[in-house]
Amino acid sequence: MKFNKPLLLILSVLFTSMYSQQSLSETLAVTGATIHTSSSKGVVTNGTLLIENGKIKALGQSIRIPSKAERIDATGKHITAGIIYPASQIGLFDLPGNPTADVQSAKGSDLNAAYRIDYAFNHNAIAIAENRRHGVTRAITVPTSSGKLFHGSGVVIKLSGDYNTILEQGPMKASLKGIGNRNIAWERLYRIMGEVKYFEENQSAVKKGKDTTSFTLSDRNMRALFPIIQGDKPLLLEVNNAIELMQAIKFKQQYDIKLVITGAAEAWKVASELAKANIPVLINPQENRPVDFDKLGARYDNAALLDKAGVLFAFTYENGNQRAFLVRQSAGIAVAHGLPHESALKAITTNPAKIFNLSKVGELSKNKVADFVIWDGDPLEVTTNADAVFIEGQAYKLESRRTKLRDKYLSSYEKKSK
Amino acid sequence: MPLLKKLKKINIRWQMIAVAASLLVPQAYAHTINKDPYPSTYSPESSQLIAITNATVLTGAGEQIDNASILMNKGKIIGLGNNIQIPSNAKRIDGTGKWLTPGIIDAHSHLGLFSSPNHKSQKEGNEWTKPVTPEVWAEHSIWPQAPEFSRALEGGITTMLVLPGSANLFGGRGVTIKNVPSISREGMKFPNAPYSIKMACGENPKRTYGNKGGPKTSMGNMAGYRKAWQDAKAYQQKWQNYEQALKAGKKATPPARNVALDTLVGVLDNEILVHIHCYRADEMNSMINLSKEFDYKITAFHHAVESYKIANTLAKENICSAMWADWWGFKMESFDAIDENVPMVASQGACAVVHSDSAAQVQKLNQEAAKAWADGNKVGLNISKAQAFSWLTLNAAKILGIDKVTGSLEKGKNADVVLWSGDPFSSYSLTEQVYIDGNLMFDRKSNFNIIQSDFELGINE
Repeated sequence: MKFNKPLLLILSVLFTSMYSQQSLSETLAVTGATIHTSSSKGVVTNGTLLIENGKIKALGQSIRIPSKAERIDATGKHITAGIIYPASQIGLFDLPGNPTADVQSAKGSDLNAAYRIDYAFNHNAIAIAENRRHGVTRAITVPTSSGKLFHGSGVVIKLSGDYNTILEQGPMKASLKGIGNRNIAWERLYRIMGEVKYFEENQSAVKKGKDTTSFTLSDRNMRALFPIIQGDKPLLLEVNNAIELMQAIKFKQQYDIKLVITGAAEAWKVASELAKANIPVLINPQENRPVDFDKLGARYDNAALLDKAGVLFAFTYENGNQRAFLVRQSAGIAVAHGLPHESALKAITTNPAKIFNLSKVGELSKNKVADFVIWDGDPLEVTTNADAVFIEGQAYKLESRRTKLRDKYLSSYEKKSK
Repeated sequence: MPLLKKLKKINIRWQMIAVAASLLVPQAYAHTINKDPYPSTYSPESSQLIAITNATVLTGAGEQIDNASILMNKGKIIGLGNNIQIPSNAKRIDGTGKWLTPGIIDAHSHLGLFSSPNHKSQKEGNEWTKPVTPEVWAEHSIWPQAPEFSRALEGGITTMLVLPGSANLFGGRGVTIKNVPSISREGMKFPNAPYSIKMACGENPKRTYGNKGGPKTSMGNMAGYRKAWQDAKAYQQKWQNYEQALKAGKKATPPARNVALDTLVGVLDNEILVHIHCYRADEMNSMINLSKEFDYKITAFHHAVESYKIANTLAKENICSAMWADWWGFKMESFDAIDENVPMVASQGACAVVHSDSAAQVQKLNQEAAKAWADGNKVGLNISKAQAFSWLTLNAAKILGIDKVTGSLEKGKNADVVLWSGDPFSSYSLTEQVYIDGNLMFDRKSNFNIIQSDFELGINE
């Protein structure tokens, strides 16, 4: 399914120049840093990152820097690819429950799978600047629960905050929660996927009224699931306990879809099975409490055990909007509990890019889009802050509404003390 | 035993007795009202002589001592510093390359009230049946088997203030507990810790009662507090009249007992500490004015996301702020929360505490302080790690009213001690050992955790 956004395209042409931030010259060389490439090159110490026209031109220890290049000395600092948050609500609300600005779910409407969030996605959301100044450069934003099995389509975004923020249509979100018990929910999922497959294969007959099969979902909600049954877009399904993870493996095999599991609190128990079935998972590495009966096996070393078993995983945080950037702290905590540093960094950069098929970002290597962050220390240390954030080679100010509040009151302290 | 040592020992005992006595609730109405009807039954096992040597020490009171050793015996810290004599019979633990801190105190916890696993019978935090419930006590809801306690212990938490939720104007009494295994609730209670009351400003009471008879607005909230304090004043007066009559040798009947007003009178009599859930600067100011109208002291504002706007006032009024490092934007009244709130409050000489209010963050409360510390220094506030650690320890102990016995590594204080694998301001450091009253409660190397929830027994086998 192509993402239809003619109005946005027109607007973007009009506004791009207005919204461009601090422009740097077309060629930029960042020198002297420890570069965590999240690629086969591993970590490059005292490296140079050469950017040209928004892309990585070269990276390494002995890179020839063109004389026209603008230089940034990053000696003693660390560089990583920009953080990619894999299942956010960034852009869907700044304040929960405000009927104008909260567009996170289709609840109360006749939409479920057909719910799409690009019509009123808020490019100006405060959470965009806030997450960006903390090093998040891209996200997959998905709707929250519609109260039905399917919640609707997500979008892939870059955190530029302009009218080009939405890049493409993202995964279909679904959850087995809140629609009857789990036996009922799984039956419904199987039934609907079977019906969608049938509908998709017999469209003309159904349309002409020759086929009078009645379906569980409305026509519009069914059609929204075509990209899933065709294997074009991933289905993001929340499953937590080991038994239902095994069930999810069977489900994927039956319909041959791209399945991504979120939650996955007990994934460590069936890690080798998930790896074999090629099912990636999104986990919150800080989830270590038996908060529900499908999470009794939650533990801090879930990530470390998945890594050992070869499962592809990305990290989420307990808040995927205002504080989504704290996924970096979670990655550090996963390291403390046994995950190798490089794997943890990949779980917030390369892996989410791989899982959602963002081929141009997620690692620092030649020809990739220049989304990167200069950090004032080890990128997974909790005391580290971003010193510079680049999206497509463009530097963004480390400002948000919150830094302005800070600066306003800090300067009032100084006046009082004078 | 040499005479000097014996004298010292007696002296320490006297200090302990003095400390304990100062914490005891004065017995003003003791002839009719028992103010401690559910006393702590906690009594630690007598701990052995232990020395942890050559570690980097953060005292929890603002100092750092490098290459220092600590000596603990019979539940107390008996030595700390670079040049202390370690008796040959002491059990020695090599702390080289490691860090030592006091046990962390979480000044805002709901552990045992909102417990895992999710079930409607586990929602014990809010008595949201009416907006004024000073008669409910958190200690009567705590589930000692909550799976969260053992995890908090692994995070270095030795003491907590467990508070009722914020749905009500007066949510009830909080309870200070030690993070120790116990079948009974009383077995967790911190001996002689003063009682606390939880009050709440702002959106939560309005949201809870807006369509249930009110309060619906902030002015409705204020009216609700004032009415309650007015009732408390009248009740207090009745008891004073009664006592005066008795004193004058007159015959008098005691007023009818009211357990809700007993709690509020406890505040007016300076026996119960006031902890107020309050986000906004304007509402904190109103609460300060309210406390002056009815003549009581506010101990701490909790969450206090706008304390940075009134840091000078808070310093002047001697009110602490118990805060998150970086929570913001989850409702209108948290919209102005900033990452630098904690260090900015501290920078103005006001008392800062880092709290969790969360079963996840309580396990890494050291990291919450670390974030706030780093964000403050990034904007030039120049705070040391040693100062920042007091946000988790001595300052927290102060607002719980237990700073004379715990909250810092000092001779004579309870041996509540955490040994960290490295700098507790690093993501990669973990607790290695946690001691409460000199007893080893958690040891990572031997996979020992003294708290084992009965609920979790056998569920992951």
